[in-house]
Amino acid sequence: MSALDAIFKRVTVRHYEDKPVEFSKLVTLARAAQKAPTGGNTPYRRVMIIDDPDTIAMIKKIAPGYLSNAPAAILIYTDLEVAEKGLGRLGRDVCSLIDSGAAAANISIAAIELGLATCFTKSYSEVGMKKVLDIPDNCRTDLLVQVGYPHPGRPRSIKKKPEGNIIYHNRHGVSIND
Amino acid sequence: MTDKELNREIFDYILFLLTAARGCVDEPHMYGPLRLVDAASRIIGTYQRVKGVDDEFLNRLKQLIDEKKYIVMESEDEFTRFIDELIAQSVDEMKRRSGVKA
Repeated sequence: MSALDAIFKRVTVRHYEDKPVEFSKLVTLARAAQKAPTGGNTPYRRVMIIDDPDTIAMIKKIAPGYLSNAPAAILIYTDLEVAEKGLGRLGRDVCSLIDSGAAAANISIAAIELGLATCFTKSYSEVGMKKVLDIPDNCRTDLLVQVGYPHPGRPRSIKKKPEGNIIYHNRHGVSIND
Repeated sequence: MTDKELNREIFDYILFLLTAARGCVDEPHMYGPLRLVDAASRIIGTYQRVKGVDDEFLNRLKQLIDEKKYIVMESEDEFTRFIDELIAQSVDEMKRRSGVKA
């Protein structure tokens, strides 16, 4: 499968098969996440694989947005001290968030190649997530990516709003379709 | 369902409500209504698991919520109409249970 095939095939999935994801595949996804860039090559990004059923159950309890039955998740988070030391406030407050998004995108694309699907979640308690996973105060959790095998009988994916497909050419407001 | 199991579900439900409340501070405003609708589904789920309880209307309501709640991400208007429809059906059911013609 080409990278472009995977990108255009990707959809958000909230219904998964009731089977675990192989640890080796989760490691591949985590490595794909860490292949994404970081501003100034500053090593502030942290990636955690979560596949212990009890831990997933606890996360679901503090994450109202974890609405799927995904059996695994990958958390992308930032060491704020490392980010600020390396890139200042821009690194801490902006670049690191952008780079976490890039890491999550890598996971979602790599998942397609592995027969998996994903769903991004930010709707969770920051305090709760850090306590469940023993994450220290100097870190900020950025994004949780739910991972699993897509259920073949799942409902249709949510339609992308038309405004979500706008592409301009050379000037703001000039669509490539004009 | 044993008392211990019920206690666990209530505890989980309280944690859901608290984290949803915190989410309402920062999240998109329509996520608040989504959490409340989801909470309704969760309460019905707990009720379903209580031994011997089988409420056909609530079962259907939960199924409807679980199937359509994600519409909030496509259209606020459709999601609002969806909540109104849930309310309309529930009021009809309330009247039926009260012996009043719908």
